[in-house]
Formats: sequence, C-alpha cells, structure tokens
Amino acid sequence: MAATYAPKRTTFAQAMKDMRSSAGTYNGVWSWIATVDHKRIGIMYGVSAFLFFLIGGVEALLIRIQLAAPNQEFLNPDQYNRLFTMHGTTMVFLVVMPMSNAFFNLLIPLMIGARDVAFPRMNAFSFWVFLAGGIFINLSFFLGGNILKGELGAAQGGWFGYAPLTLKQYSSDHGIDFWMLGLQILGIASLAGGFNFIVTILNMRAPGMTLFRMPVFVWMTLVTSFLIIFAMPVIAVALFELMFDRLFSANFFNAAAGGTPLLWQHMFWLFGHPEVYILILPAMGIVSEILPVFSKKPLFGYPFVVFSGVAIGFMSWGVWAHHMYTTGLGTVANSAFGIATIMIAVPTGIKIFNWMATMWGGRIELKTPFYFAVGFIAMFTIGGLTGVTHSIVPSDYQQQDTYYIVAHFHQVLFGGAIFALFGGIYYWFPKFTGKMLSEKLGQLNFWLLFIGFNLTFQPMMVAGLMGMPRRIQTYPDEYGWELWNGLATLGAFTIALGVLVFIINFIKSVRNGEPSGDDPWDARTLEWSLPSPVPPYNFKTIPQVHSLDSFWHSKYAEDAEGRAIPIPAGAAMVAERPHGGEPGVPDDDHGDDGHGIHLPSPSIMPFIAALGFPILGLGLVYCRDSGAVPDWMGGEPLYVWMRPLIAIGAAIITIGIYGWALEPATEEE
Amino acid sequence: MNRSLASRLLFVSLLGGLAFLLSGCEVFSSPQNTFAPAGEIADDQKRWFLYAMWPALAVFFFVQLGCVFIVLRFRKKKGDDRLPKQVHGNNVLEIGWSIAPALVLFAFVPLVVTGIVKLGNTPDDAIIVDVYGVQWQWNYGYPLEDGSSVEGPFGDPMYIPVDQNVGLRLHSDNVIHSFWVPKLAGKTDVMPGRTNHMWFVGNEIGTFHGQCAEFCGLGHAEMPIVVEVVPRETYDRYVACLPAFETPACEEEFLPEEPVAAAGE
Repeated sequence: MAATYAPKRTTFAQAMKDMRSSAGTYNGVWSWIATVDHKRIGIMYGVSAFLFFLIGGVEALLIRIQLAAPNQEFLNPDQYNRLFTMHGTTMVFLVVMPMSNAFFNLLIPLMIGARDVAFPRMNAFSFWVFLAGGIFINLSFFLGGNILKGELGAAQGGWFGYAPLTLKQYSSDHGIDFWMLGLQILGIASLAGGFNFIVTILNMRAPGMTLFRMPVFVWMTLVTSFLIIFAMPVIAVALFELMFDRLFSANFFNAAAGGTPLLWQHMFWLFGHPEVYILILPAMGIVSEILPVFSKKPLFGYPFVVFSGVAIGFMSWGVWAHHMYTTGLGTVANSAFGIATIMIAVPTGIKIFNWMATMWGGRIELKTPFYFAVGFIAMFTIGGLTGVTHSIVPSDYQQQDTYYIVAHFHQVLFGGAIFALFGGIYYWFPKFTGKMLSEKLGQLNFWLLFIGFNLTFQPMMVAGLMGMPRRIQTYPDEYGWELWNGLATLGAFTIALGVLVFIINFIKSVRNGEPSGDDPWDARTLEWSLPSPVPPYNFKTIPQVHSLDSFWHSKYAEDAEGRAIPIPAGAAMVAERPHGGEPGVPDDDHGDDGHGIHLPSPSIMPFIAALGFPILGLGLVYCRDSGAVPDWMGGEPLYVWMRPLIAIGAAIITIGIYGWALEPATEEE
Repeated sequence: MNRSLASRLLFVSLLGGLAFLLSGCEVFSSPQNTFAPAGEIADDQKRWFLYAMWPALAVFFFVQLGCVFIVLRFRKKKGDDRLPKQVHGNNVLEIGWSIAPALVLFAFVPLVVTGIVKLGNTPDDAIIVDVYGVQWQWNYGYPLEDGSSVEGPFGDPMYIPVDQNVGLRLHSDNVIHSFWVPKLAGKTDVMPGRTNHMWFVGNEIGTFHGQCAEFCGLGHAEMPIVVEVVPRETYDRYVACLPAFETPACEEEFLPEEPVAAAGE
C-alpha cells in the first residue's frame, strides 16, 4: 500500500511555507515570533549568533588597529577597555554558546528521531531571552554612560569582571550594571536550554536508540547541557553578589570594608572553566560527526571518544584555580590544581588520536566541512599543547596574563570552536535549505580563515613570551613587540576577509545554490534519512534504530574483508522507508502534509515573558541613579522614572508565564 | 592546488618554528623577554617552560605532519570507487594512547610540585621589600637595621643588591595589580585585603623592566616597573638616602636628572 512512497521533493521556499503553515494562525514575522518549531528556533539562534559574531569581530578589528603599531592613539584607554570587555563577553556568551545552541536545536531532535524537543515553548523562551539579553548588553554602548550628559559607555571591567575593579567606587558608570544584569538574563536562557536538551535526549530517543547508539554530537550536547545547568547557577550567584554590592551597598568584594575580592575569582572561574568546555565540547561533537562521513569510515573508538568527553565534563570542575595561580593561593592549592590541569590533557589527547585514526585508512573526500574539521584538529592541538605548558605552574607565573594566554585560548576557541562551527554550517546547510553551499567559495573561506588565524594568533604567542601583558592599549616601540602585533593585525583583517567570503557564499547559496538532495554527503546519522529541507514534523514515522550509525547500515553492508559495500536492496528500502520504518511493516498512512501528526501549537507567550527581562533589567540599572532628568521632564532624579520599569518588567514576565501556563498546549481540533 | 598550498603552509610553519627557536636575533629581543633571564628564578622558569615545550613541540609536529600525511595519503583517488575497511576501533591502540600521554604528563608532576614549593617559600636570608600598588604607580618600602622600614618616593625604581635574595610583600588598598619583571621572575598578584609574597634574585647588575600584569583600569598599560639591580654598596647608599634625598650626594646619585634644555645645545 505505501510501498511506492517516494520522498517529497521540496524547495527551500516550500519548506519555509510549510514551516509557516506549521506556525498555525500566525503569519509573516509573527509566525517566527510565535514559533515553537525547533528548526526555526535553531535558525534564529544561528542568525542572531552570527550577527553578534560580526559585532564582536568589528570590536576585535578596532582592538587590532589600535595595537598594530606602538604608541597609537586610535582608541583612548577608556574606549579600548570597553571594547575588549565587550569583545570577550560577546564572543563567549553571544556567539559560541548560542551558535552551539543553534546546532543543538537544529539537530538533536533529528539525530535522536524525535519530532521536537521535550519543551518546545521553553525552547522558544530560551531563544527570546537570549536575544533580549544580547541586545540588552549591547545597549550599554548607548546607555551605559550618563545618557543625560550624552556619554557613551559599555562595561570596562574585562569579560572576567574582577572585583574590586567592577565595584561602584572604581567603575561608576552603568556599563558594569548592564553587563552583570545582561549576563544574568543570558544565564536564564542557557539554563532553560540546558534542561530542555537533557530531558529531550534522555526521554525522546526513538525506539532502539540506546545511549550508546547516539551520535557523538548528541553525547556532547548532553554533557554540555549538564555543565550548563551546574555552571550557570554559580555565575548567577556571583553576579547577584556583585549586583548587591553595586546597587544596594552590600559588601561581598570590597576588601577595605572586609569583603573578599578573591571570592569573585573563585566563583567566576568555578563557572568559567566548565564554561570553556561548554564552548568546546559541542565543537568536538561536530568534528566527530564530520570526520567519519568524509573518511567513509566509522568513528574510531566511539566509546573512547564518548567517555573522554564525559571525563572532560567531570574534570572541568576541578581545574578552575589554574586561572588563579598567581593570586597567592598557596603551594598546596597550586600543586593540586596544577596536577588536575595536567590530567585533563589526557582525555583531550585521546580524542585527537581517535580522530586521526578515524581518517587513517579512509577514502577521504576533500570537501569544505572536512577542511574545517581537520583545521580544527590542527589548531585545537596547538591550543591543547600550550595548555599543557600552563600546567607547569611555576613557569606559568611568567605566562599568566600575557599574550601567550591570549594566543592559547584563541587557539582553543577560534581555531577550535569557531572552525568546527563553520564546518558544521557547511556540513548541515543542505539539510535545512535543500541547497549546497558553494564548494569553491567554501575552500576560499577556509584558507582565508586558516591563514588569517595563524597570522593573528601565532605571533601573539611570541609576543607573550617576550613579555607583552594582556589588556594594554599601548606599548612602547623599543620593546620588540611591533612586528608581532603588526602581523596579528594583518591576520585579523585576513580573517575578516574570510568571513566576508562566507557571507557571500551563504547569501548566494540560499538564493540559488545547487540542489543538494537528501543525503549529499552519503552520511551516517538519522537526519540525513529525511527530506531536505526537513518538513515541520521531521519524521513521518518515528524510526526504529538498530545500531550506531543506523542510517549508514541501511545503505551499506561489509564484505569479508570488512570493506563497506552498498546494499542494492537496502538502497531501495531507504527510498521506500526514508524515515527508517521496519521492513515489511507498512508506514502508518498519515499522508505527506503532516495533518495526522500531532505538533505543538505556536505561542507568543514565551516571547512576551522574555520581553519583560530587559525592561526589568533597565529599571534595576538605574534604580539608584540620582542624576536629574532634564527640566522639561520635571527635573526629578532619574530613579523616579526608572524604578517603575522594575514593576512593569516583572508584570510582563508574570503575564507571559501565566499566559503560557494557561493556554492549551495544542489547538483544539 | 590544495596539495601545494598545504605543503607551502607546512614549509612556512616549519620556518616559523625554526625562527622561533633561533631566538637570538633582533626581533626576539625585548627588555621584558622571558627567554632572556637575569636571575635565578626567571632562569628556572625558562628552563621549566622548555621542559614542557620540547615534548609539546614533538606532539605538535606529530599531529600536524600526521594530519597532512593522512589527508594526502588517504584522499580519494580518481577511479577508486572501493570503500575502505570499516575499522571501528582497536582497544589495545586506544588504551595505549590513553596511557602513554598520561605517563609523559605525570613525569611533570615532581617538577611542578618542587617548583611551586621553591617559589612559594622565601629563603630566610632574603631582605624583605614592601611593594605598594596604587592606580597607577608603584612604591617600595625597604627594611632598616632597626626592623622598621622606609619608603621611597612614588615612581622611583626599586633598588636591590645584586646576588641577594629579595622577598616581596605585596600590598594594595585599591584594585588588584600584579608585580612582574619578566627577566627576574614571574608575576604575583597584588591583592587588596591580603598580603601576597614572592621572592627573586637579580644575578646581573643592570636596569630591568616590567609592568603591571593584572588589568587595573584606565592606566593599566602605563604602570611600568623598574628594578635597578645594583652593587651592595649602592643599595645601602640608596636606602640611607631615603626618604627625602636630602644631601647633595643623594640628589646627584639617585634623583633623576633634569631634562637637558634644548638651548644648551
């Protein structure tokens, strides 16, 4: 009966229309605002993260222009401090985290054979709160100074925000207020996302998909989500303490009055080091998906890769003080954290060797996603090895807070995370658009980024060893750092060129890229068994999973030698049962339009609830500001006007959450 | 095209690595170069760093060359349509490359611990100098015979006797700073609310430069440290001249000269 079913060929435009119709009664922009479809939320996450990437990139370029040569005055110290603070904050919280989240959203349900995440509205809430927080933090450029005097501002305490520099007496304008409340808002978004993906992965896997049949990317998402739900509360507490110090004259961090500046560092890094792995584990997951596909071999030592990821997750909680070797913790603490730091290199090394072994003996297809994946291994290895040199604690006293560190973590976060994320975009783009990104532009993009990256960050390593400290906006010309800084600036603009090529490639390919078909890479995981672009309901029939890389095994068997050979009959089976139905058991006939499939209804309540947070935040930022408003507004202190925003914001959040709780989860039939 | 690009890149990186190792030449000299130590501690730190750097470089070349080799060797050739052997893993190999790096890394543990202990305990024969960090200047206090101490003026260099162990007590009553003179020793943070300790020794007579290494606000980039490592007698004379450089001899020896007027040319 359903034996002649062939996958419906849809265009990107058609898919967008399908998605729109899945958004029910909401049309146009509203259909996006009200969507609870994990794929649309993923796209919105990705696009916003990329826009923030451009903002953070421009900040980086301004920093590099200032440092291109000694004794420059392109930026003054104040502007420079605000820019590097916002660059770090943006790249960590508004780029790498949400970009990883975009991939979680787009892929997790597809990879585990589910129709959506466990809590679709909470998913939408997570996105809107993230966007609100991101915009809120960036608003500080315009509102962080004294707006009544027309001063510009933004946080200037560094992304690490060390107290007591961040306290009111040293940072009196509102930059830090925006920063701490913005991070607080972003934390809510991350927590919502973290819980959602844990529940989704643990509870919504297709029948037969045991934990050890999950793709590595799903595993890494699970580990990352656990890290998120344990790490974000720590920074939330630290930020609340800072908030009480700044707004309500509490005394957590002011040493002069008996507070402890070191307390901030402990809490920040107790969050901050797991955070590093929150940023890198998804990237490792992406690379673990890409390498086997282009090598035409399964991932070498799947259990080792999974367990080393889990081990990294656990160990990431025991190394935070390696950011604090020079703070005078004492010999015992420094030794313990030094040894823990040495140990965490082991699981990371295992992964690198496994990836190399995956490629070994394969039949490698040199396509753009693969370039990025290998680029990841090469660059991340440098980051890892420079990390090992940091574990030699007594010699790290020399490298701490120098450009050697700047080089190290950019090798991890740019050479690592960003490379993998670009690779992921090239790899999964066809799945969600039905089109290919241009291979030619893709490779140009890769080489520009690769060369630019090395030109930017390897010279920084030299500059650091030659004694250049971080966070300085100028340096004298006889210090021998000008060549290295000049090269780094040149490299930064090469990177910018690479990103420009990516943008061109993306726009061109969305408009008229080559049609990709459903499985352009001959891939292994379930999402490639679906039509491209993926229909709103994902799986027509929930698939039955028989093994790791189930989809691959439906296409290929192994001969006596162990070589993969295509299954002709299997290929037919795939065509007949694109969603992995049991052979011989008919698909239940829901039809292609998804009418018979139960999908959650769209809702604007998550959006409304999210809207309240920045309003509440604005009220808090100015709640003690006694600067007078202009006479035509009455000349009262500013807080008279701003305090009501706290109540209004809280009311909007409450309304949103009540509306959310009371509306029916699905429309009535 | 990709092959030639890859090999060219490899060549460039090899060349870069080589240049890095020949760190004698001009572009690698800096008054703050951590690779040009002038005291025992900085010398130890350079050596310890190299202990880790050599194995790290070996792994670096293994992985980089390995990746390039694998990609070139196993890339899909024209007409080769056979799929590869489906190897899922190899427990012996994997346990091997879990344990081997662990062993190499654990070999560093004694070095790390002894190094931390050495740097963490100021020797008994050290003279103790107080360091005060403010936004954005340094000030130093020297011990006197009677157990009290005397402070030099803000902005003056730190004077220390050559070949003498010097312990520092680091104080701040404002934000966090970090005391760092790369050629003499790695840094220690100057924390408000607690007194941190570090020690070092200058084994060469000369002027050594450093700067605040913890972000401390607007003037962070311009908070230099100057340490004058001088003969014992000079040090004694300097301390004797404190706090006000009242005698002409003191003025002549330790007060910065007035800038030479252009008219004098």
